[in-house]
Amino acid sequence: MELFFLLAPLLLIAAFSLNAQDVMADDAPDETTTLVRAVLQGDKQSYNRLVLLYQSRIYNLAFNYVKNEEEAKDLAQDIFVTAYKALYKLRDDTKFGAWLYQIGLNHCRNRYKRLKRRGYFTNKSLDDETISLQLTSGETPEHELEQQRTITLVRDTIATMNDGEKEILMLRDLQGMPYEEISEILDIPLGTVKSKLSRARTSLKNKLKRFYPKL
Amino acid sequence: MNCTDCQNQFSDFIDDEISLKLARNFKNHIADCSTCTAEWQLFQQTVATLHSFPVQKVPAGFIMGIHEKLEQQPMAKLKGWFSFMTRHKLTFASSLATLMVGIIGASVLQLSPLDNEQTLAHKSDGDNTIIQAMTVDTNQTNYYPGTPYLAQNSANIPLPIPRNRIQFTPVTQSAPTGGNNSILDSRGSPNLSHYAFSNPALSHLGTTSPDMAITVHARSAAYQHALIRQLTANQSWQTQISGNTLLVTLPCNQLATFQNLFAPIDPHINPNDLSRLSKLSSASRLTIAVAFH
Repeated sequence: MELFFLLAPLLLIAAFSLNAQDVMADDAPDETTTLVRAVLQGDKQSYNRLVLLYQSRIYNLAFNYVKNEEEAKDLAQDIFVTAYKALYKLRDDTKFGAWLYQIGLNHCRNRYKRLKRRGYFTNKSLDDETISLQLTSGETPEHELEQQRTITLVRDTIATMNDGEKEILMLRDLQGMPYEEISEILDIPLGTVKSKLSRARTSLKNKLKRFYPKL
Repeated sequence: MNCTDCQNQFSDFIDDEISLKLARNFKNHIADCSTCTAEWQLFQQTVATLHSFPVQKVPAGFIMGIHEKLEQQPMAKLKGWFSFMTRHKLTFASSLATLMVGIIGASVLQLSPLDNEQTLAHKSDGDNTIIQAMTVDTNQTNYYPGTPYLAQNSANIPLPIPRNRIQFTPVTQSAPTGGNNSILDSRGSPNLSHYAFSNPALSHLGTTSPDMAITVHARSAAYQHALIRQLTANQSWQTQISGNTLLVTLPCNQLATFQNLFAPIDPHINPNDLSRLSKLSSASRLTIAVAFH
């Protein structure tokens, strides 16, 4: 009993110090926030670092939308240019990622519409009745080719979906984002994210059904 | 759990966003239902395909491209503007066409003002002369209610003279109609009654014997209209309209003022007659016929 009374203050102190460390860790800004603040204070080099952090995700988002390397590169660069010019409008510097994705999605929608008007997208693979969708493994050239055809077919199928379904599939299944981040980017509740994702996946499954070999 | 409920849980189950109880029910249903099993396999395969998409590598020079775009902003803005113009060229072209039509319309109106003057220009040929046109159309829409027509303008209501940028040079003729030396009687008062009116075009004036006749061959109805307004606006002059002729009775000492109205067109008036007319006293009045053709 005496030992308990002796140790109790020490335990309390230890508990408080651990808690304080947690609070400090929570309050410490992450790298993105630090870089955003630095850019806003005039350090332009920090924006290069921000680009390096996000370029892969933004480029892949653009690529999944426009399905062309050159267009995706140009589109992703435009997204970063717009973000740089509008950075002073960012209200919460801890939400840079979601804000950048919002800009990105807006750019992607506009570019996609413009290219579609010009007949840029053909989606020829959807007319190919010989394609059979199956996941293959292995590194032989045949497997690679089959995998590439499958991906092209799925991309073309996604392109036929509406913007809402398309984007939620891209964010969740192609970019692997958590629900919370998707909720922030699309500005919809968590439950809505789940239901929309479920509908989008089911819709894609139904569209691809005819390409699967009979089970 | 029925089939619909089961298939609605595919997405949550695959993301492990389902409660343990629902997950147990889901597995039990899948084990018992061949349809849902097939759908579940397709669903899994679809999501697995999505997850198998390779991550594209960012092309080289990506950041450099961003810097270049940031440096080229002025040109990009210009390009964007032209792009906007291209996308909305139809709207732009129609706007431009509307503007041009507006400018042309305004120019036409400036050259030949609206209202009766348009009618005058067309009716100046033949017997229907300017003043007739102005006096006859009383049954037409009165665009200026309360404003008398020129024919009713006996009170000499002063009218504004329209601004006209283009100067016209109408051809005028004047013909002395008096009896030369007999313009003054023995008392020095004008004795104009014996003046014979020699202009056959003015013969319809009947008993009225003008001291002078001026024929105006103006090319512009607007100018003629302005001239008529000026002649009828003077409070001390009396005007009378007869056919295409305006009879103006004015004091002799205002002959110079009268002449000034015709100064821009440089009328060819006989100097001898003018000198005689100008010698008349201020009490004397002259009657001058102004015929418009």
